[in-house]
Amino acid sequence: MVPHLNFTMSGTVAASFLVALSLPLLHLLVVRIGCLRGRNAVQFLVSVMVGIAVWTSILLFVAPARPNSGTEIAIGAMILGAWILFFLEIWALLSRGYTLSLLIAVYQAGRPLSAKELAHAYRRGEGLEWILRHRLAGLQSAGLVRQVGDHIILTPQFGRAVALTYRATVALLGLKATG
Amino acid sequence: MTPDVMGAGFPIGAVGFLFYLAASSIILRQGTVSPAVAAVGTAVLVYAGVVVGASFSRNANFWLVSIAFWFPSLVFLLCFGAVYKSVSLRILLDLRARPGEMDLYSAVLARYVLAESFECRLRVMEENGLAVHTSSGYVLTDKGRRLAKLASALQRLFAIERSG
Repeated sequence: MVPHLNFTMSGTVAASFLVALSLPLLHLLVVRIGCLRGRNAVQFLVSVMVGIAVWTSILLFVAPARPNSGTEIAIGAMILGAWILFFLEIWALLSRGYTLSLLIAVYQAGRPLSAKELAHAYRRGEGLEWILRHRLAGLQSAGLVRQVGDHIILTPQFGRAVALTYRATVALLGLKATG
Repeated sequence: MTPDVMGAGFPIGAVGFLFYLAASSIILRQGTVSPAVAAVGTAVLVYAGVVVGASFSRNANFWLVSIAFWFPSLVFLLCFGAVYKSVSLRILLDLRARPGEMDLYSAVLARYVLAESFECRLRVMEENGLAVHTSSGYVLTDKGRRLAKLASALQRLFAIERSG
């Protein structure tokens, strides 16, 4: 049997690839909008929403890209979704990557840094305590923890459920160390 | 794209994804390579195998095979990344292990943020050949400098002013 793969692409699939691949370019435009300056997560969300709107418009109004069946729409959505996830992974690494930020701190210092200096230099001088403040703000707004005075408390239902699910997932994946 | 072509491609990619899940869970449990390398490397290797396998099937469509494999695989990788390296989730687990499921802010900061998680990242930098610890402190290797330079350039391009 001779190996053979079919590389034909329907108009819907081609349009989905085109929109997906242009997402980083769209994001480059969105990050230059003045009122969104410094709000990285909102910028990313706006780029994705505009991308989805463009994709929907193309499928609705551009004749060669019009889908013939619901299956084609689902495949197009999966193509766009897969690229959004890939782009999110890269973007999250750049905007929230802890190890990468430490690496950049040493690079920007231009000289060797001790562990203590590195901890202080993190995030252009905000220091490691910023991580706890930032992550706690996220956990509190998600209803997973609450802060009472000097104490951080796991919320009895949602917080506990997420912690238990997390522990079970770590065990399922066989991970020895996390975080 | 005819229905039989769609029919041939999709199940091959989906079965490939299930095989990837099984293979990665075995490799992760063995612990011989870094979990991140294991999860990503296994996905790439299994995908290559799926494409070769699909080429022996009757007229399978490459794009359908690929998307049926990569969409669920990327969802899995995103969840895996959160479970493996999320500071927030790790704080929740840490609180869960404390009496009354609570702790002092200063204790979480000292025990986890300033010690465990920070030391883990320093180890990752060294183990991946990105930095070396010398008597005067942490120094970037050529590989580390190239990565930091590339990341800084991408951050400027995408207007990411501060990361972490």
